[in-house]
Amino acid sequence: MKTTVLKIVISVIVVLTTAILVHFLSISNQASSDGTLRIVIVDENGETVFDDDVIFKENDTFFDVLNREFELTCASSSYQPDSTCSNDFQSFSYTGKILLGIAHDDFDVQTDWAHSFLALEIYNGIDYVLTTQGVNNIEFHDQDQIRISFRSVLEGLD
Amino acid sequence: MSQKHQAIKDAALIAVLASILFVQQIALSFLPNIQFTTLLVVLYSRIIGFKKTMLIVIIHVFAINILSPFGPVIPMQIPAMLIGWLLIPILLHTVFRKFSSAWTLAIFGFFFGFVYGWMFIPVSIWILEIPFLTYLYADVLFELIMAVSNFLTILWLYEPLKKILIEQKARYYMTISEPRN
Repeated sequence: MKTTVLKIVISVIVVLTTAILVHFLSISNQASSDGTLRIVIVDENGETVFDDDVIFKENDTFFDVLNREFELTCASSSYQPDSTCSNDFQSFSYTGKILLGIAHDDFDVQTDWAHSFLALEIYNGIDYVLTTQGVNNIEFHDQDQIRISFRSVLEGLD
Repeated sequence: MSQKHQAIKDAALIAVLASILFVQQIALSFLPNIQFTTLLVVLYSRIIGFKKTMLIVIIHVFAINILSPFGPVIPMQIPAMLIGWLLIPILLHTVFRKFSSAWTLAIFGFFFGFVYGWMFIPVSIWILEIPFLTYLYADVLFELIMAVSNFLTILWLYEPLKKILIEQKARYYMTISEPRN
């Protein structure tokens, strides 16, 4: 009896602690003030097709910033291209939107998720490093540089 | 029971237990890192022995990568996956051979959740060229989920499943004496 009670208590503590940790580790990152971001976009040929500053506002997510400046294509629930970007993945591991394509007046970079994807990288002062979050949850600050580049899924394995 | 008869029974047992491992992992694939795989491999290691569990794990890893409707992991990650799962029977028959209660095995399962995630680090940083800290940070949430899943499933289900498996194993290997003419 005592063992069962102890098991229940320990299990509840473990689940609650995990829930708290998951909440803090997966917190949504929104801009705390207005500012500017430098966005670099690289196409499938490795050419930089966009390199300019864009403005963000308080409470913007990175997706909001891109959605204001570019024409975006996101993944539908079945990972098909969706230009309305209306689908939000709600699973704990895939919260938010998945960016498949980004276009502007003079460029159009599209991926298909199965063979290619858009890599999101942030400049750390020395080099670009992959972000640890998706397009909705990237942490960013004023004057940050973020690069969005076309990548083959098999890159590095060829 | 003759040696040949014993070998056939062993082969059938390995196939059945590998199937259970495979089916539960596929059935729970929609939940990231929540599965009964660690519980079952721990259970098999303790009840049916080292060699059979090693074979079950090898079959499981290949079956998952060949037959899973969600597709295989990339080929370079298969050795990491295989070594990761093989660590359970290896560790439970060497360093942690005295671990036998649900509590100690649950704690073992908790830490194994992190170790399993770390097995994929070499491939990720050297072949896929993902920065070490980026990978570690991105994966820690999934490692934590696996650790907690392992801890809770072993803590609650190890003893009842152990009892069932021991009973079934005894019945399965029970020799039926043939009538003499």
